[in-house]
Amino acid sequence: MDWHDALERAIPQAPPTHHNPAALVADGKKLVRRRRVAAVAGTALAVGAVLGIGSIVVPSGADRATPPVATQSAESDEPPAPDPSPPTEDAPVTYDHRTDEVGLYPGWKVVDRIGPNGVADSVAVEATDGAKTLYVHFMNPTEISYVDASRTSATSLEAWLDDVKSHDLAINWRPRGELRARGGWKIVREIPNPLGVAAPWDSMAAVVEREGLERWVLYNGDRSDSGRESTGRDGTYAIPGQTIDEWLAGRSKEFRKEFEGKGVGDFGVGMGTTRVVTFGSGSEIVPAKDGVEVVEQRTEPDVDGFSAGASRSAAAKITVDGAERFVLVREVDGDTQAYSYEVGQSPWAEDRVPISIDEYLDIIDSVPSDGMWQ
Amino acid sequence: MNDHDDAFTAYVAARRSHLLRVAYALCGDWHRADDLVQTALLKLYAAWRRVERGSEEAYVRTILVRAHIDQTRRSWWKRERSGDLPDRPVPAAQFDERSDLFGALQTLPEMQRKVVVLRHWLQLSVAETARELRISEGTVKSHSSRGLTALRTRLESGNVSRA
Repeated sequence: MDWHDALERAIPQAPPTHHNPAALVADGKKLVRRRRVAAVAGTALAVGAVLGIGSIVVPSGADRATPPVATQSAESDEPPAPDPSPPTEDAPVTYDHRTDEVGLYPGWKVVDRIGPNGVADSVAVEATDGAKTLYVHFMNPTEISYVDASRTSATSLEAWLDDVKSHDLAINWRPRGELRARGGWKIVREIPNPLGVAAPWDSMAAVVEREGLERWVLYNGDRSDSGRESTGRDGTYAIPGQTIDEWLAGRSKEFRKEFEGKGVGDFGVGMGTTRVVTFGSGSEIVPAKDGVEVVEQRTEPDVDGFSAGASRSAAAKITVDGAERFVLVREVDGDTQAYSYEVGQSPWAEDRVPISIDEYLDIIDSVPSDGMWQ
Repeated sequence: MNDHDDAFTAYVAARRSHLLRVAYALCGDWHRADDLVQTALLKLYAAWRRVERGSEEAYVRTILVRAHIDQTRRSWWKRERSGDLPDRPVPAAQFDERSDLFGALQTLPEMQRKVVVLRHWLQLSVAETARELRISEGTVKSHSSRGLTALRTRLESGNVSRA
């Protein structure tokens, strides 16, 4: 098999899209300016990022995707960090980034300390109560890793930091797929679909561990049969005194908030050509394969220019193996052209609403066609 | 616009469609591919003066591949949704009913898919592919072998998810 030729035929040509070169250049200039302004701060952030080893996001807001080390910059509009909790039996070592004070539960003492370093004032502490020794890394006020030193192969706090830095979390997942870990990380517990979402959405949480360092991860995403796919990840180091189930309950509420107020049309629309329907003897749309059912249809749909010049045209709400789709079909110069649309829906089945064919046509019609249907 | 901007604009006009196709081969979603290309072109603009003329393609392709890697690691709060409607409808001949091979390509693990795209579609050498993906040449060979074997198997068995 000639793979080059086969792939050349299989990979579709890009659809025409509107892109204003002047706008791209203007955005490019803005990027250059931002980089110049951030040049000095960027150096500091880079140091912080190294110290924030293996960090994953502890988000608290809609656009909070940058690692916490970066959100501590002067430009951050995040609210100030809450007061650190006092030391407890579960978390016997604390650190206050504002006062640079290490707090200790009675009976504990500091053996070694590294930092503060970097823009986030990262501090690592080795502490013991005589029976047990902990390595604790306070990367920033919201991201702290604890580990029982006896469970690591490191012989010192510094060696542990280096080891963690060279073993970033290596796991991946895709909706309706398996969770996989590598690089020494082990999946200790899997929690399927903790967010309670319905297909094509999916979610997965897990406890993962490497040399005593435990992390909690939460994935969510959607993957439809038509190829739409997106995946996001959230995570934290295990929080002393809390269970992953308690953490997930909080994350689930935050996730819910992200979708409040969203309705039909806010979850995207996928589009492609299709051969699952065709015309019958007239202008009616009929199934062209098994598993397809035409639920409702309209002839000559009022979609910007779609029906103009067509000898027949129609729109229909259909199901393909039970999955709802919308199709636009027309015949031009004896050639039948069928387009399939998949309208995204809320992750939660109870929030989903039926979409009428008229609502669907409104959505399609709201997109400027710029004469492409001609 | 200055000469720099004119040259960049001419490059974009000439190569954007091809880059979009490369991005689509990597991620399998036109909207996401469009975002990837936009990201890559912005980075190219910022680096335009440093990029040797004639090397733009390799430079932007590298950005594209790595931007995709970065994107898959993002939190969902910033993820790129395959969301909005396309700018405009597309004639049937130009839009895809996914072929079996393209469908099979999208089922490959990410790195295998990238190796197949770079090595066998774009016909980069093993060394070039390794450099772009920041993996060893041996890893390129093993991903290539496994990827092609998987494609053959899936095509022969017809076990490909279709649109």
